[in-house]
Amino acid sequence: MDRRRMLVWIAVGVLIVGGLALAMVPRGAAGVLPASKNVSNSELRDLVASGTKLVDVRTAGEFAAGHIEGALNVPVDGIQAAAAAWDKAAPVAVYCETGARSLNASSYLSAQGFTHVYNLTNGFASWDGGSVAGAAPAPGAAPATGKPTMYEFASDT
Amino acid sequence: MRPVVDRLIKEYAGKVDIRVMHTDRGEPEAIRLSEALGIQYVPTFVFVDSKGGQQGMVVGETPEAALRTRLDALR
Repeated sequence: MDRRRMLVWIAVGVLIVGGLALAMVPRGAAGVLPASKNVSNSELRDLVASGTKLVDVRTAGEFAAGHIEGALNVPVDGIQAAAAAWDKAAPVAVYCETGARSLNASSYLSAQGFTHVYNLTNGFASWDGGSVAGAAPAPGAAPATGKPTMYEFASDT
Repeated sequence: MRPVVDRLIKEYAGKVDIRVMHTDRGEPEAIRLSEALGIQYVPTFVFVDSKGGQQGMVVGETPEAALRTRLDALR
């Protein structure tokens, strides 16, 4: 093989490897996703618009009273069970009321190997966008029994 | 609410599983679920479809008709 042909094959190899590497990097609509970090309201909006999973880690009651549209409700003590089924390479953003619980949740997700984790810095209390009310499915909170179920939480007193 | 819920348990048998969770008896499932769902008051009624999706929550003493409406809507 002459020198020129060898250089051509090396160039082709570099293009193929580079293309594959770029294809494997998670991207949002605006380009490559940022590394895991705390985010502002506007950054969160951009992330969600680009397909980032949005998770509200507050309780079901707080969630029902009002939440960011499109959010999935996974109370913070259920994040371990729910996240076991999530793709660790897919971006996920978390929020709570003030940013404290979601900071714990984001730290947990990062420790578990999630590569793109975002925490809404000041939480829902400082959210300046719209919100919706109403309960939503909370994976892992109530077990699927195969039948519709009503739970009455009661006391003897 | 006890007579109302007891009546609904009988009427909806086979259609909707109605479970009374006594949070003050130390029952593990009641404690786990009440924490996961953020229950702060009793009575609280939580409606879950057959796939485990939470379809609504009602806090406080509730008219029987309101419970029936939600029970009838559950799938």
